Amino acid sequence: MDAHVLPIQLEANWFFIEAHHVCEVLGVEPWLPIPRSRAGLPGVIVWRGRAVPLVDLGNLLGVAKGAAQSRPRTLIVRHARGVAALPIDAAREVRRIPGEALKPVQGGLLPYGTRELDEQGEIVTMIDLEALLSDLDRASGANGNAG
Amino acid sequence: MQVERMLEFVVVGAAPAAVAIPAAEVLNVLAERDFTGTALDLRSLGSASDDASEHVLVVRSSGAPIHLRVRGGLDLLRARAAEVLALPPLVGRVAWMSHLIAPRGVPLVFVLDLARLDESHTVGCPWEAHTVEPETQQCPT
Repeated sequence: MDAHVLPIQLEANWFFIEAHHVCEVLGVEPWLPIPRSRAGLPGVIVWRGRAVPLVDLGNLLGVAKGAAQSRPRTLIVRHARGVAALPIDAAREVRRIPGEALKPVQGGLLPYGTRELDEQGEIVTMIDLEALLSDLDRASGANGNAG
Repeated sequence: MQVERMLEFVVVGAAPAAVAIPAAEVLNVLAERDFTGTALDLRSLGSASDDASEHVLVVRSSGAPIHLRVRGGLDLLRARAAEVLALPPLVGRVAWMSHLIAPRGVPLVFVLDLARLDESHTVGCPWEAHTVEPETQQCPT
């Protein structure tokens, strides 16, 4: 089955996330740091009249050294338990990738990586956003809607 | 014409590390030197403030009032009800905050989750309860 993915960039790395999660791509958004926050959850922004957690995807994937808040784009994503804002460096147009081109992740070094695409030697990994945000939710002790 | 409901908050400290408490729940504000008793130590929340003054806020709870020892300037903030946004549990649980005040969509200050403080009876609370007595207060130099 074909996959519809949004390519996103975090520093030098490109990743795919499933396009159905994506609500909007914004620029830099004003945010407020959360008191006693953890590294993966540094702050909160306001989107369409609601408070939305700012999730540092680069930190949670272990691939970025820069501060999430300094990234020029903010990706708004919907997941099973709410909405989250992901600071990213860039995004490209949604792509349709044939299912057979996506292979299971080799090595499993990247957390939440499910499948990967070899693009002329450059490996782009698909991120399981649902699992990542669900784990973050669980770690925070939240039981209800996460966003 | 419908009049928009306004809410008032006592704000402690300076942005971005300020914290707001619904003014209707604040029974009294005491200078720290005028208070003797046990108070939750929330001074870390206002640590970024230039104003190092300390106060004890006496806030309403379902039982005995809760005493909050805070650091930083105090201010009164009025916000439209529509600008006071409920925090998702993912954020609120971590921060012990219930709402976000966001005038014109810009996040400004978190509102302390008084209901949770009340329910917890300080169990699991990130702020320790300390006895505030005259000998804990700074002597004039």
